[in-house]
Amino acid sequence: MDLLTALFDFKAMGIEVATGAMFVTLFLLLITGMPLAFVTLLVALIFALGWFGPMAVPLITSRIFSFVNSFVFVSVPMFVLMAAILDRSGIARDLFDAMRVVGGRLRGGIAIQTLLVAVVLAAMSGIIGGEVVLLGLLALPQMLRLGYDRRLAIGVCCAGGALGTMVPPSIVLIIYGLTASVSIGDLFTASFLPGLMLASFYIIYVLVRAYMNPDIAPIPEPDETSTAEKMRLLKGLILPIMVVIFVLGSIYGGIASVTEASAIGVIGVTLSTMMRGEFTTELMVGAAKRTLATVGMIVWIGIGASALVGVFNLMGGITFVSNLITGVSDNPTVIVLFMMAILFVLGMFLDWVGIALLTMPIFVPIIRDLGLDPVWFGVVFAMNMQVSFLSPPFGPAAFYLKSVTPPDISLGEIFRSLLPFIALQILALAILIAFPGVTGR
Amino acid sequence: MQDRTDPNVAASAPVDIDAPKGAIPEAGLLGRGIDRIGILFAFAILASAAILGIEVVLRYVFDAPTIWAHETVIFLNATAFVYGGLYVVSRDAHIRVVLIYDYLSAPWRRIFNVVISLVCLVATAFFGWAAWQSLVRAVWTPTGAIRLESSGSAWDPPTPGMLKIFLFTILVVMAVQFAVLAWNYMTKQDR
Repeated sequence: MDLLTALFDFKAMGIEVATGAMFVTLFLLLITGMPLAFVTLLVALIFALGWFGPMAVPLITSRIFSFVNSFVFVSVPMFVLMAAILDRSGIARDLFDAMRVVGGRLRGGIAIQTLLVAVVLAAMSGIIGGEVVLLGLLALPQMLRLGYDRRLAIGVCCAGGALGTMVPPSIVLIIYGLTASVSIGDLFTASFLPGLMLASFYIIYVLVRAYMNPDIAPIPEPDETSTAEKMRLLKGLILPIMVVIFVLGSIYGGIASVTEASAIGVIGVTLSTMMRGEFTTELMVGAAKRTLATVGMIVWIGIGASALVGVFNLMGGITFVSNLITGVSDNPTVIVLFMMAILFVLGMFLDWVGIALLTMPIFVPIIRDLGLDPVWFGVVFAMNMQVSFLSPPFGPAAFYLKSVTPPDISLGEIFRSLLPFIALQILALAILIAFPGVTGR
Repeated sequence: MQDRTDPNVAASAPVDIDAPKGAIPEAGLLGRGIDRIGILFAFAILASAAILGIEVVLRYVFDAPTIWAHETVIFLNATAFVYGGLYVVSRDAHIRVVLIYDYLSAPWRRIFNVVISLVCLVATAFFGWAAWQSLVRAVWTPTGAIRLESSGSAWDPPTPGMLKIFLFTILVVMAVQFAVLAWNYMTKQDR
């Protein structure tokens, strides 16, 4: 036993070497293609045993139980379920058709119509996959048929679809709120304007491009949709829109908790499908199974990350890394920019759930120590993750769009199309850091 | 990094947007069983939406909140979260970095699949052992009598004890599932 303890006594390494060893192990295991959730779990348990011995193991499991047992976290499956039902109904399609009125004879009209639909969809949903796919199926073929510039059309669909996690309700903000222990209602309120700001940047970009070079966005033929048809579309949309207003309104107004509001959202969207005559058992079961898989993925990354961060914290690693980061500069802005650089790099390879749960327990205390607002930082984080959805080589939005585009649109072309939109996201992020007042706080 | 199964599936079935097709063939009989039972926990999520809806009506309309709704919902969701992990293992849909993996030739990919499944098996077994430690504390009193740990609220249900038993059970099944995956990756000729 003595030999065994000596062999596994990681404490002899000191925290500097141990931190390095942990990062290297994580990195090596990750690039083999082993699932993130199990990589973090394994590393956490190895270091818990090596550093503290078997006594520390129950401490990790207790962290995991408090993670799984939170009432606020229940809002995650609820919002995912709401989005899954919405994706399966015809609400998005009708919304897109009804919004034609807005685009009208404007140059770049359909691209703008697409972006506006994206914002409304984003207000109904907190995740991105379904929205990108919907826009790819609804809007992209129309724009291509009308002779829109391909890259503009592709970029609008991906960037618009990714807005789902910037405009409240957003799962990214809920997870941030849980790790940073800040009010999710506050986060939603603070992210509202920045979300709209980003969307308006996209719209301005489309307008500027379209008016500078009319060839890239031909004006459509006069709209032949009849008034009766428009009325029918509007009728089917009243309830879903009311649901959005009600859900967000009750969160902003502080009337209901986020979890209660999310459940009302699910019921509201379900009632909408019933009234539209789209309700079927298969639709509900399909949506619920999809939700089970999505939250299973998110929660198990959370379990692994929570275990790893717990062990690392007990080892004194978080203090060590915090000192490293704060040692970069005396200027808080430089430290924030340094954090952004770390998030950009991680965002190219890692999923946002992993990034949020692994880095935020380190970053948020630093932000608090610097006297900065953790709610503002949550919005900054969500904006940063917007970039990670689009940035190569693993921007999920591009992969989602690729799954529904004609085969002649390659993944490479999608990523090239996204570059101007990534630039706009970085501009929005810069404005958010330079003028924190954009959050309204 | 992305969920590798989603995009392909969505391409073949745009109606059922990005819903994975079910357990992968390598998950075997166990995987199909896990997929079937999944529906139970999908219903748990639907049920919690309904319970929360009832609670909202009781609280804000009749001013008579229940003492059981919140804890029931938390428990239902906690079981769904835990089961969801197993469900996703059987679908091979856990998020991973495919930086190198995607460029591997078929024989190498097979070796990687086997080794990854085995390492995941170790991680799961390890975590199962940790979960066992907390299960022991939650189920037996120091004197050896059986007493399920309860939440300590006004309603005081034994859900924390039940959840710990559930987590341990799921980890055992998950470890077996990884063993099945490793075996099938090793023995089956091609995917």
